[in-house]
Amino acid sequence: MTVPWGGELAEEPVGDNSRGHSAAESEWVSPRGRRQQIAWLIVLVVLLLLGGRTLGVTNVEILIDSMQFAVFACATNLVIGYGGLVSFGQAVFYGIGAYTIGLTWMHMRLDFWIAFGAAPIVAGIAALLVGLIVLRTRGLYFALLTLAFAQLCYTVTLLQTGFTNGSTGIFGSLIPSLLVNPRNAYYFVFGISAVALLAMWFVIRSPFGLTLKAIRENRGRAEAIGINVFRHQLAAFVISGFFCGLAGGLFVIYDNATYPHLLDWITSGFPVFMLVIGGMALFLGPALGALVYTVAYTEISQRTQQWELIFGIVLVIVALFAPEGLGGLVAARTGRRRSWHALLRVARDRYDVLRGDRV
Amino acid sequence: MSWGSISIALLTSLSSAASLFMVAAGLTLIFGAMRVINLAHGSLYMYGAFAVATIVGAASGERFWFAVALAPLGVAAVGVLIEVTVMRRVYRRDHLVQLLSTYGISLIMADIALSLWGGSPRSVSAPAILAGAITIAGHTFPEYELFLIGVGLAVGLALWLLLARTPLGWRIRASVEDAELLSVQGTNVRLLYTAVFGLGALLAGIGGALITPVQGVDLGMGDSIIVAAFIVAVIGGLGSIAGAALGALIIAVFEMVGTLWLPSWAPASLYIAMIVVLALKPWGLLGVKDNS
Amino acid sequence: MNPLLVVDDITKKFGGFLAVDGVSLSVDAGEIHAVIGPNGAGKSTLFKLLTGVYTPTRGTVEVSGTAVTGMRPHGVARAGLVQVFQTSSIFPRLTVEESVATSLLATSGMSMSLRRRDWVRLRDEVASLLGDVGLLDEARSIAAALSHGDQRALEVAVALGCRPSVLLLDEPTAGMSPFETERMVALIKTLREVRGVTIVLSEHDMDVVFGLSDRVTVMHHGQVLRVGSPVEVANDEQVIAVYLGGERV
Repeated sequence: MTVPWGGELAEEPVGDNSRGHSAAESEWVSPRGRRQQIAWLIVLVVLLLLGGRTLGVTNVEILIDSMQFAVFACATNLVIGYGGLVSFGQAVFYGIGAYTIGLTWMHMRLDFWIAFGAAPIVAGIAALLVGLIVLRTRGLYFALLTLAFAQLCYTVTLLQTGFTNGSTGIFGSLIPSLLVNPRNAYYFVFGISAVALLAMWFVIRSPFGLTLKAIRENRGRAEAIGINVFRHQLAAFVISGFFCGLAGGLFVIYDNATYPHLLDWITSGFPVFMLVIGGMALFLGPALGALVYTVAYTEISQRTQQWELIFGIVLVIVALFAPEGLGGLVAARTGRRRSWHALLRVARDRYDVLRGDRV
Repeated sequence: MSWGSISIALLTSLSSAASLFMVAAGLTLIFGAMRVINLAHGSLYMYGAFAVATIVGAASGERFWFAVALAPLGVAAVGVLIEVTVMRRVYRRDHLVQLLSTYGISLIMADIALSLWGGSPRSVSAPAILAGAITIAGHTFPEYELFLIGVGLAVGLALWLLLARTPLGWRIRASVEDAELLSVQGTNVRLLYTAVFGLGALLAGIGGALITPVQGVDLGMGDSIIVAAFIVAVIGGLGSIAGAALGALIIAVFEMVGTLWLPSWAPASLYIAMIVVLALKPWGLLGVKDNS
Repeated sequence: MNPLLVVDDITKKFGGFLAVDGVSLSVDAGEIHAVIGPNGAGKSTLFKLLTGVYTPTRGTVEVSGTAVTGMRPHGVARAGLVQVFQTSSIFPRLTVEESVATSLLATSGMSMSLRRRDWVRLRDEVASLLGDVGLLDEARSIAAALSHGDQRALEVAVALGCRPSVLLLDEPTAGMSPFETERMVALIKTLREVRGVTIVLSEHDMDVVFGLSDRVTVMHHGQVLRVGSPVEVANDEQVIAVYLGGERV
């Protein structure tokens, strides 16, 4: 139904940011397509493995930054893209991951490896507690409540100067000497990121992931067939928080420091626009977005002061005209073919009806 | 603790509640009519403040009233420009699209503000007629902040009259219920939406213009007010002007209690208030359930 | 044989208005039972009382000997009474097979499982359900891209995924083309024969009602006017007077 101001009156399902169903509707891929994807993935992995040895230190560091952001963005996409819950507060868990390492080092000189292992677990527990509250709300209220949590954690971290070092953040030799060498750090971050992305991929492909998508598509129907919506969304929130915390731990390896702004709503926004730029309908879309964002930021901020202006314009254009993101544009081809089949079938049904009338 | 210092703390919270209410009322008015949330609303507030600072300039207070009258109109014009170019394309779209595009606008506006006004903060002094202070039990309180509380009340009253008693208000409320019916009956809904957005921007502009004598004008002021304004609007229930007033009062009380007894936690009280309210009433105090 | 679905004296009052007034119903296993009546006779309210969307003012509902009165909708679904809605209610961007797998997983208590093979194991059951509703060729199509008739068939398959003993169909042929209606009628017959599902349906199309059902309940002003075989009902003077507008069928 078209209304005078040019919008559509039909209610769109939560998380549906595409106009109609033209592109990237499902993760289903033909066996041939799957083989192609695996081939590309192998090429990518080999290139990344070689890159750690051959690229210059600056580029290696850009890639480390992209990889930790890729984990952060994909973890956020579990909630936004697959859960249909627009969260502006995932930085809470990212920051908690980083501060788990920072604070245990500052107060107890705890061994890095133990702290790094604890970071995602602490973040996951935090996600459980936060999720119990925020998942009582929906839609915009959910987005704003998660945002409030991010600001709360940021403010508290800023204020409790004695415990957290306040706005200065925590500096020092947080990471073991082995990881201070950027090339070693690169391979470590690469390995952890690859395992994390693979784990998230299995979550998406599992019965749990499917049920999560069904809730996103039609909450009422999912309830009617006996699905406990709250429990599934809470589980997704905890899993996402776990991997956000892991990404926060990887950030400490990248920067050897923690800052309060890691927890605020601006940082929460980073993975959101990465997943929108890269395309949230594709599993690796957010990772692509993380790479594009990091490289673009480095390149543009070297050349001009107007980084925010350029970034803002890109954001508005992407949101208005290509909410499926870069990944969505690639996937649009298969989508169009499928709609074509649907059209043909409708035409066939009409023909059958006509024939039935004549007989 | 004397009752004097308590009443001063209360008045201080009320004056910050008044300016918070003006910004939050604009947000909630826009949300109520168009179901869209505007993350760039804080930037409009900042533009209002910078416009006043620019017009007053070195003339220290002489041109204050002229600036305060003119700046909000300029901000409303910027709002109309934003509505026509971007906002009318995102009504009825997904929340994510709305949040991202308005976030993009706030980045663009921040960059333009940096080029126009530079990074150094500015200050504006209160006009001579309000430059004094009153004394309560030995504590002083600036007259200008009393004036601010009065303006907050006046704006609330004017908005209530507008929505409840005028044909424009009737149309705004009807557009929430059934915009299609309204357009069939001969209202230009597109124009109505532009007007509502302009009005919301005007409120942000007034809030920003009037805050200048109270606090320094800098590029970060939009970011800090936007989150607070959201919290006020959400606590009261998005779309409800009365809710925004209630939310602003609750925040004022929370902040006062925080400032007096738990100073190191005071800035966090805002967020705690929101979390408590939404945990108990997921749609805000005066909000209606929205399943979209 | 014991009846599978027993409704006893169920009543729903909205304020002073009796939408459903002391309706009793008993449906045997394997039966196709139609509920008909003019608009406003209380059919939709009756269905909502059965599935737990409304709480009855008075009366009870039993499925396979279990009382389901006062249960929440998903509890009623677990007890075996599942409704297919009148308005289209699909998972737009899931594929056909994913949609059916979702309800099978929920019914088997595996919706929280992180092991993909729990899903793969269900493939045969998904395929057999899709075969029954005639959507096997569309297994990998996006639900939103299906025709209206296919979408209704998909909803039936999703409901079947809950392994119901009684299926409630609310106007299954509403808005369908003659071809699609014919297919839906054939599908309902297949469900009874192949799956042994007991079916209660409300319907406006009298050809569909008389072609399908074993017994018909006629409702009028919230009360049961007549219960009987299609032929008995069609020839009942009272029914003809209030419902069929005086014309014999």
